[in-house]
Amino acid sequence: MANGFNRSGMETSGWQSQLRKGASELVVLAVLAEGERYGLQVLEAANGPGGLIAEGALYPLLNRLEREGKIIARWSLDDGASHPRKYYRLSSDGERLLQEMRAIWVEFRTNMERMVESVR
Amino acid sequence: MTTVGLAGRLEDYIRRLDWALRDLPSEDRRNIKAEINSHLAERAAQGSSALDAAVLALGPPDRFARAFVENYELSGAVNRASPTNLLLVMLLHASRSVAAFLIGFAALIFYLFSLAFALMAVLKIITPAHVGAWINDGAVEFGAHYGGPPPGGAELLGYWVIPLAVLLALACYILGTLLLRGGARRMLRRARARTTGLRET
Repeated sequence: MANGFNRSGMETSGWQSQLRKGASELVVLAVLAEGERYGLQVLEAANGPGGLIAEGALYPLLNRLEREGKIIARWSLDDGASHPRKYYRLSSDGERLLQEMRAIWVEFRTNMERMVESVR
Repeated sequence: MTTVGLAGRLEDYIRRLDWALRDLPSEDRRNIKAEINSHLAERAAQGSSALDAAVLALGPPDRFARAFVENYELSGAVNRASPTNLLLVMLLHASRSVAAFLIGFAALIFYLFSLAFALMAVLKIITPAHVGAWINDGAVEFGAHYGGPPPGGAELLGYWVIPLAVLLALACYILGTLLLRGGARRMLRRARARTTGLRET
């Protein structure tokens, strides 16, 4: 019984990881739609409701989105901070991408609810 | 003593990260280093165990750096690089991916055909009698014939073979390059899926 549970846990953890991978870009864009944030703030906002993004994955993702012009960065040395922080905000391209991804996500979620959650 | 230990561990991580990022443009490398330094310093301010947890969460510096470098390699290749660099990147990935091998091989064939057609255009000027299109035993023979024209009917195209060969050379070049860029974009998407949003549970 215990073995069966562990095997099933291992099988679903890979699948869970794939789900998070697919959602991470939308999560970052959605967090930045709330306003300007630096890396740690994005991480805390994304992981508040449950671990959605890994620290090791966040920064390469921010770096790529910045290079693609989806987000805009600026450095700031805040009062009381020992190091400058890199703040990000959405560009107009990023806002457009977020709208498109959000629409796709809502449709996907609705279909999944109908398909999976209604089946008992 | 603890403070020195914390600073030392942080510096050690950043030094290793810097080394692992050495293939990136220096400005980008400096920016990434500064951002990660700031991230770890903020964690370190919460204590030794918070720094340890943050270092663990980022992963070993060389693996963490790979996520940045892979994106740069492929997006740079897709957007800016010459076809030669594209082909090199594709062939470099060929040992790890069947798709990269097939795409790289097919593109190489297209480029070789492109070169052959370009060579035909040049040879037509140098030795007109050996280059052209002939009907030989009911089949059309198109190309350069070593040792004189083939036996059979008269040459069909004359000097029109030059624009035709140039056109074919261009078409093969464009097809090879489109194939490479399409393939590189596909690999970039796969690399991103591997390296972004990853949270191993």
